[in-house]
Amino acid sequence: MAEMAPWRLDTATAERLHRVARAEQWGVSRDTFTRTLERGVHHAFGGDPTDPSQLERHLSSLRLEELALACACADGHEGAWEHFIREYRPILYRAASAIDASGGARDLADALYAELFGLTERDGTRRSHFEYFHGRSSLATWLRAVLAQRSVDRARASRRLVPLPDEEPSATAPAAAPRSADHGRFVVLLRTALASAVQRLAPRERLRLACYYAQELTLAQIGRALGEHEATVSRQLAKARKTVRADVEQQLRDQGLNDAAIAECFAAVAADPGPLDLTDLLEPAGGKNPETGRST
Amino acid sequence: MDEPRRNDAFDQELRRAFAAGGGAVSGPHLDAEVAAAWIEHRLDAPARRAAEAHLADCFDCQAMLATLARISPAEETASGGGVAWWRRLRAGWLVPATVAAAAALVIWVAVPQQRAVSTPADQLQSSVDRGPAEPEPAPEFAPDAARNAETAPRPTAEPEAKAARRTAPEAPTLQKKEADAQPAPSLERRERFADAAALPQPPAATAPAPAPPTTPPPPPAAPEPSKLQETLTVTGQSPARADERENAATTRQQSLRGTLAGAAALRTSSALVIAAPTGARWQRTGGAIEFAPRDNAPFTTATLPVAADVIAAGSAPAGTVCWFVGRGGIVLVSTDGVRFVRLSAPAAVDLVAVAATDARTATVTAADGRRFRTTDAGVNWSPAP
Repeated sequence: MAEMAPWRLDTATAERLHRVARAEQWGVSRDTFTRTLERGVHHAFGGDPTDPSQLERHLSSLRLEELALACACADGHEGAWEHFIREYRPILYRAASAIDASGGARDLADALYAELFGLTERDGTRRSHFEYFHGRSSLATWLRAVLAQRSVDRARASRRLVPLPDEEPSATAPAAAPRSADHGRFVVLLRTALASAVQRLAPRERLRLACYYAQELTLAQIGRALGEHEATVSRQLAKARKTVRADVEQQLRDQGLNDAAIAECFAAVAADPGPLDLTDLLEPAGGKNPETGRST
Repeated sequence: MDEPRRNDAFDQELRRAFAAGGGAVSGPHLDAEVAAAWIEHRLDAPARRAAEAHLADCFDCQAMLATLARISPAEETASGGGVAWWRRLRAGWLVPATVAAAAALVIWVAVPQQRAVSTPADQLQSSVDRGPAEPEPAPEFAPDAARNAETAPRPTAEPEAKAARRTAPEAPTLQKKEADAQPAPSLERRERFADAAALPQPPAATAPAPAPPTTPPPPPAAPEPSKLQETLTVTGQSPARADERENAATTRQQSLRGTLAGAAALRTSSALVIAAPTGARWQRTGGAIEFAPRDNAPFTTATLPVAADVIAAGSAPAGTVCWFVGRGGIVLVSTDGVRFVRLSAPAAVDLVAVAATDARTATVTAADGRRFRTTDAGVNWSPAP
């Protein structure tokens, strides 16, 4: 609110949105609501809106009634809080249980709830976390997103503090496979090719693959997140995977590897599930050597 | 090293690569609201692209999104979280409208061809009276499996998913045929993955959504701010929407639409909107067909045994009954609006139009002008005049 821009929402629009939001039912004045809308616009556009049609799309996509409720809650309106407690607090706690059924995320929900209620700042004004809600999504999804963000942040922080206690055992598994002299080089070749093949995919393709391989979402969850049908997700995943693999093999061929050597690359990574060993990278690969084609 | 093991190794590497995070991450991290708006499909195209460009490589934001996806109830994200259908549709229209010099091709296929239905309103009405209670042929695409996958907790779904990863890309077309031939109850997630992989993949399928209009719609729409809300509603409606509101029985308009449908039918990449007289609506969005049971209801994605973009035309005689025809003799029918099953083809030719009177009776038109009629949901086809 401090960096109030010269841009202002025009009165007629502000009045109309205020009415559509039924903000007066929570005692939110037009002025307060307008300032909230302006902050939201600023936040979404990273400054003043320049394109009127984009602004129009933005304003028309807002969840105005929920924004008005958030506005009223931030102001401490009693009726609005009653409504929030009745309709939204259960959503918050359900989300916490969905994150951790054993109740481990409950404190995150408590903390968020307290922040929504507002903390008294040094200057005596109450600041509510509702200020970060601008109506671009539903209030329920926003609450879930804040909670999801905090739980991920916490998990990451705790991973950083607890230094990898039981990640070693996997190292024992691949020991059985005898390593060829080119093992390290093959691993590096394949991983480098894979990294660049993945980077050549469109962002959405990469995201789809990441949701599946790294985040381990189900096809249905990916479909809902990306707004695609489950069958489309499945088809696109298969397609992207095929593309990446063809790209990798092509890159390996371009490096002078024949089919047998490419097969060895795959065998090498199969026997080496661990993270990329830096020594493999630092060790020069020994140049291109087309005669490395030994069959497995 | 045999192919399955090679595939496993490749999957393992993919998992490792994505878990390690991508390349250079672009832009700032997503804040909670942008993530929420993204998962509700409410971001406009530039914002969505920016978010996805970041998400593609930022492991932390992916993790937040994955958590959000897991804890979001299905109904709140499945249909776009309440985005009005016309708003999504609008972008769909603008692309052909701005790119093609021809007017936006909206196919109203309730009456696809003038000659196909003599008195459309009467026939449509009679089929409404008969209602959607026709028995449904055995589904080919295992909608139950989809539901199971929907509700199955992650741990049980995972092994199947692994199996899918192993077999998917190399799945031969033969396997698809087998899956088609044996109707569904036992069809697993793995097989469906394989099946999907074997489907034809026209280029349009990759486009996540119709490209966003970089220029605003042609401006009778340019709104005065004071009329913002009304104007938006009106621009969203665009001609076809307004027509739909009126009545399916305005015969003059219908014959006009019939002609349009005929002209557009061969261009399977054009917009596809089908409306039943009851207000139910099917539309093609991106690579999928979506269904809304009535006016203003949210859309849900329909299950199709073929890719959505091979569909050339459709006909919806009653509330949840809808027929689609398309390339290579494809004939699909649904009696509940969302699950489509494939019927036997009258001939292995491209089909360009269909006029259905109920879930069993329809007349299809091939690209070469021949017409075929069935009265038993595709079991038998006979040449039609």
